[in-house]
Amino acid sequence: MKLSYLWLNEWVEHSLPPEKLAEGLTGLGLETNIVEDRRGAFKNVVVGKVESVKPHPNADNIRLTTVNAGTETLPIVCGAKNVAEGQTVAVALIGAALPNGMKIELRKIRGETSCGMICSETELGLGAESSGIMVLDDSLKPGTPLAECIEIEDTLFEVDLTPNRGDCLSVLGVAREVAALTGGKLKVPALTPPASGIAGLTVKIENASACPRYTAREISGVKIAPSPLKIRRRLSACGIRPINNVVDVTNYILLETGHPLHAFDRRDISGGTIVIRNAAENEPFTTLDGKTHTPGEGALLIADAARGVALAGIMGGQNSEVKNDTADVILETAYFNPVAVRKTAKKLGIGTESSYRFERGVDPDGVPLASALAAKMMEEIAGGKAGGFIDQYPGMAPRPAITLSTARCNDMLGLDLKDGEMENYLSRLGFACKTAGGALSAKVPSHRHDIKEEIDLIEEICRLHGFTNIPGTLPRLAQHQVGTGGDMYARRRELNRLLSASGFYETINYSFINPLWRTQLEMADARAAAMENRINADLSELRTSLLPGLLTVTAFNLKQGAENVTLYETGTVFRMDGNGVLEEFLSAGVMTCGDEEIFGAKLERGFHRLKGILTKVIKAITGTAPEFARPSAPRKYLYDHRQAEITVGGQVVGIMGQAHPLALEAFDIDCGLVGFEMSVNALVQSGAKGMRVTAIPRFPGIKRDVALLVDERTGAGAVMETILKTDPAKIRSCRLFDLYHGQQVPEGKKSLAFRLFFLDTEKTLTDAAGDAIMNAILARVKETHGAEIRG
Amino acid sequence: MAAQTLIERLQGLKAQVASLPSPADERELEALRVKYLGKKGTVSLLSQEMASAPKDEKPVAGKLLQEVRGGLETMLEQARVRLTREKIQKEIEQEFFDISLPGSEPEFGARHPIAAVMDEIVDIFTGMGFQVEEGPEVESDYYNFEGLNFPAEHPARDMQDTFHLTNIERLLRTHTSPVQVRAMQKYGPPLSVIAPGKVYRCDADITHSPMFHQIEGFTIDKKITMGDLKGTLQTFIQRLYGPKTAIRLRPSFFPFVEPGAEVDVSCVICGGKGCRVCKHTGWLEILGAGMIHPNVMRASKIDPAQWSGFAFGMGIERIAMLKYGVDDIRLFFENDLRFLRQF
Ligand SMILES: [Zn+2]
Repeated sequence: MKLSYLWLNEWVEHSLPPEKLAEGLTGLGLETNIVEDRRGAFKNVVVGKVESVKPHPNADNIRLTTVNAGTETLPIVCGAKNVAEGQTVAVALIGAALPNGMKIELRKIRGETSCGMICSETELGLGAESSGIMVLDDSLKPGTPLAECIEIEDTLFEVDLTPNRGDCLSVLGVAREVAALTGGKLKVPALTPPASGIAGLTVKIENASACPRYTAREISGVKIAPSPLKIRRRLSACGIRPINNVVDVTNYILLETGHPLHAFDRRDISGGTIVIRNAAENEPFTTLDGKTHTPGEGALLIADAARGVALAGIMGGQNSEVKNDTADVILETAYFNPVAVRKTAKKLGIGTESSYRFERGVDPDGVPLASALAAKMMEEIAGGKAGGFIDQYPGMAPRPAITLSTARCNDMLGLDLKDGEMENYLSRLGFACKTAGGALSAKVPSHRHDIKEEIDLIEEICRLHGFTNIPGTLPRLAQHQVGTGGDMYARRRELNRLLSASGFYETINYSFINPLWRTQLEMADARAAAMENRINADLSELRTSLLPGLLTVTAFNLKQGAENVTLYETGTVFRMDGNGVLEEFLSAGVMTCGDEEIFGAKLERGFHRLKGILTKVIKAITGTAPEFARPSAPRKYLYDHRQAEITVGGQVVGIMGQAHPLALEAFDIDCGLVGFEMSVNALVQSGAKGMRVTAIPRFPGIKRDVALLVDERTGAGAVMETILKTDPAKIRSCRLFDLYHGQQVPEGKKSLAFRLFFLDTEKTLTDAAGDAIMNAILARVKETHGAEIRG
Repeated sequence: MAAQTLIERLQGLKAQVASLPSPADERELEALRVKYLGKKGTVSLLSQEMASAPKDEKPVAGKLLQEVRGGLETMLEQARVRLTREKIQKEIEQEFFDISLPGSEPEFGARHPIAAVMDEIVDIFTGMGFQVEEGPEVESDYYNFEGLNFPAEHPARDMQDTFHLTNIERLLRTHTSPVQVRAMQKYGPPLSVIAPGKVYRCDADITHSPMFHQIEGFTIDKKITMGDLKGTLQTFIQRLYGPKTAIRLRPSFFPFVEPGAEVDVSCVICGGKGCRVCKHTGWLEILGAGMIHPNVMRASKIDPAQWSGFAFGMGIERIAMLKYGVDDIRLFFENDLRFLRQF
């Protein structure tokens, strides 16, 4: 909300300069910043009198004038059509700097000297639009600084209000806070109450819960015209476009008191009656911006005998708006229920200054003041005559006083305030207080809808005392039972650390994906949950897998020219169960391509490299080596035979493999990719039984190498298993160190070279014992796999 | 002139050997060895004469010969060691070794900066005694709003523009605060919890992302005060940004706390003098905090007359942006390796 410093000063006595005021209000919770500071900005702008006007010899649209600026008469070239002899105007002298950045210098315009500028309202920063120069009151004396004549050197604040402080959405509202801050007096004008009743008009409230108070004031004989400069300037500064004097008054009083008002053209109120009623089911209504809505039964309408004339608290109707020939006006000031206004405004998608304030709650007891101020102003600036007043106030439940335990207040704030100090803070805010036996009873002012219970009073006391005046202390933090909520966080963190140390970069991808990405991977998944995404309508589904997101960022990085892409993510995936309940799982995924360079040697980031890393990582997390087997239901987005289900401790935890060429094509990727995805939940459940150490051998073992010829399609894993099972007590390790196909071996065969390690925990193994083990192995692999030793 | 005796000659040789200069290089060393100890060397010739020497001279001559030979051998060996060391030292001194060649870096990956900052903050709080709790990212209206004192049809809900699921009555949580309600229901008071996680709001520009991260912390006990909140946050901020960092609390509004506060930190870029990042105020808005609202406790069956607590929440992206000098939040979610490799 924009706030004028000079306007504010009309409502409260204080001596704070704008900077201190902003600081003080911010300290009270009204975040206030200076957005425009015109103090001293019009030093060289004075009142002038136009003495002569002649056409420019060389240009049609420019005039040569002489202007009496007090001490001297200046030649000034002027482009405005409306300039005329005898006018009193604002003159920017040489050396002046205007708000729009213009600097006034001695200039020659088409050969003619100009010693200054006659200003328009726009050039002086007084309004958004103006036609021609500004013409001032003839009573002003030439040479007088302009700032002494009109309200121009103002300071404008932006006040950022939280939704609970609807009461501060006005000059008066902020003035109340300033009064509380400084102890200064609030300057509320005393107005004589109007006569009761309006001849020929009745008001009937049909829905008192949606409209607890409705008032109408009669103003007759207004002349529609533009408002005076001061009004227009204040409205413009606060972001409201001046329209005409009557409409401007309603907006001006809205900004001043926070009360929305509406002016009807009395000619359009038929049947001499105003009814506040619910809209009929299909009743159409055209608001004054020309849009037709169907508010529906929940919406509240202001109606005459025949039809709706305003959408209560939101916007007036086109059928009854103030027009250029309007003479008699009915001024509405009311209190509408915040929830009712919000529901209708939200439903129709309309937000106005009026609905904004009603939604946040205006002051029901402040209605007569706003109405009277507006009536008085219409008399002053629109030549109207204010008449009678109808006030329908079926009422609101009276608000009981709130009791505050002063001890509890101190306990909560960590302070040691006396009862009197608390009372003082609250009464500065307009609460009527009494304290007895440690119980402070406070009557809440009618504008403070946010004050409902004890804690609200504590907050008010805290605000006034100042948050900065509360000393910081350190609590001895209470421990609940040992929580288990952090386990997954710790496991996930360990997993991330291992994956990062293995050469992968962590990514964070959006939880919502384009469903197309999933279907392109043929991940037919009816369990995906759809969402409404107003930022990017394409990303309309919660991910059931991390892979589509990882593929997308892989493709992105390849397009950016990356040669090696090694990415991972651990994050939540979402699936509906059979009963329509959405479940969340923590998933970890990796995607990689390119070559790894280890001491000058290039190593392809292929299936087996990833399998090796995955094995290490899973062992580190669970203490158990994973097993890899062909999945029972192979994934379509992976090569048929280059995929494996990852099993840990008998439980399937995920899938790894090489991406299918068609899947890559769908994501516009033209290099091979391998990756995996596993469930961290399943991983954590499957392993982590805790590892135990094995004793370091006391006797030396024997190393033996052997190369075996087997059929091309015999799995190396099966051969290794056979070897290890031959004598599990003594054969301690079996490592494949060479795999060879080619000319040196017969067609259809391959050579597997193993390094074996034999150990006896009780004694030193002899060569003869080693030979015996070796022979047993050879016999076993020959029998099981038809393997021959390679000569 | 009478011929010298063998003893006399040996004595002469001993004196001569004792005054020999140490050889300057390997060639001189070899020449000395040949001259004295070679097959036709002086010492070898004299030892051949021993056989014909008078019997009574033999013991003395033999001893002298041993002394001469031993002395020579020692001297030559010392010279050899010295020359070898000089040679190695000279080679080392003269070699060229390029220490400027790039080191051969092992292939490490990296944590995502957001995750790293999140862990850093979690560590500070767990060190202070808070325990980690996590909650679901898809929430019900109750946990996200109603249970946190956001009434239906209240303008406070406009502060958080929400993503809704279309096929079930659920929403993507707009803050980590639902974990407050869940933890209160799970454990009851007293408790001290820190809750990190992803949150979602319908908002996108250079400082807002539709998905971002928050950390929520809260404690409930008998007589927890607003001063405790201030002290806890002061300690946290000083551990995160250094002991000279100051905090400032301003009244603000979040429905689930009261009194509610916006917490500013003295600008980590300019130290509070004022700069572009802090918009010349010297302060940066980092956290929201306050005393847990009685309605939140009531919703979780905790009696606010007996218990009190504080809660605070912060956005990780903002803290990471300040820490690493990132000025566009979208960089965190683009996952460009040229960005990720910098961490
Ligand atoms: Zn700064």
